[in-house]
Amino acid sequence: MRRSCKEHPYLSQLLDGELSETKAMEVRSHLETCERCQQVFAELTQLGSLLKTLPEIDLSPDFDKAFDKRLRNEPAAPNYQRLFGRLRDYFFGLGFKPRMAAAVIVILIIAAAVLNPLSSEPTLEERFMAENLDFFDTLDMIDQLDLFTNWDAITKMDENT
Amino acid sequence: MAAFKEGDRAAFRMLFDAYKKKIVNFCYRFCGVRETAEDMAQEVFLRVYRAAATYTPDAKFSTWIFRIAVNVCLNELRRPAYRYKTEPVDGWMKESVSDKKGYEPAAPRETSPDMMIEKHEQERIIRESIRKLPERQRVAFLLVNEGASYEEISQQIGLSESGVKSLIHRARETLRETLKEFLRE
Ligand SMILES: [Zn+2]
Repeated sequence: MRRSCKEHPYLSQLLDGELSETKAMEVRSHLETCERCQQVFAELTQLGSLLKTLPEIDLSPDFDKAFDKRLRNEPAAPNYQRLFGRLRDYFFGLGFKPRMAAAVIVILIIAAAVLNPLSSEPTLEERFMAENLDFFDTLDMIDQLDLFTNWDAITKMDENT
Repeated sequence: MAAFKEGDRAAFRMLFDAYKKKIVNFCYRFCGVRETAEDMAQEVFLRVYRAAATYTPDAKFSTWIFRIAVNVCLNELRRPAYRYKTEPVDGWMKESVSDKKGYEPAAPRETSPDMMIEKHEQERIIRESIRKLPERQRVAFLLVNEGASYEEISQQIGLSESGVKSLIHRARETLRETLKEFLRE
């Protein structure tokens, strides 16, 4: 590989937005004058796009079933409540938005009624639910999911109904 | 209280459904064997199930689950059974086109068979080039392509951020070289 100029190692970080403001400006203005770096940067950008064209593989049709089977072989979680309590706290977040609470309860009731993770045959309802869970498709959405807010308040409301 | 439990299960199920494809594909890009990738992904979710009690919401959930995936991937490499086993990419391509009608995006009408073959060949070369990267470079590169920040990757693979920078830089330099025929347009 040909040896290139001193700014070269920063191009990858520039692409990822991992440079400080000052350094990023420095590298960008260098890019305007250095043809070699322009070439490298263009290639790095294309490399990123190339990766995006790589299709995702679909899961085998029995993926869920196989997982449920393995899950069934798991010893019962010693502290089942706590185990999923944490997960739930994460998922359903903190802070309270009353307008959303009703929607959440509806979703939970439906989910609890139709989603049984231990059953091996997906029911029609489960399929319907799974197909309509598309809005959980992206990781970002899940990470920013503040639809489900204040679990405690919500469950109390649930108990009262 | 029973309803409580059901809600927890539903949360786990949502999580599973939301992440399974991402995790399988991450593992597949890492190891190159579809069956192994699915097996590894299931292992990831079992670990999530077992470790949920220790999860603390100080990290983003995606950071946490990919960290588990990284561990599973790196462990997999230690198992000699899979070390040199890869399957031809067009093997699963044919299979997934034939037995899951309507599931794969249909090829545009004007795509000729030659273009399809060329495209598959390009994909094969890209996947193989990624797989040939040294394992930590490969993991760091795949994670950055998932949109992870260097800080997250550093937590996920247990390395300093400057170490991560260097892994990603080196991975890209190698790929720029091995994939150069696709990078000039
Ligand atoms: Zn330069």
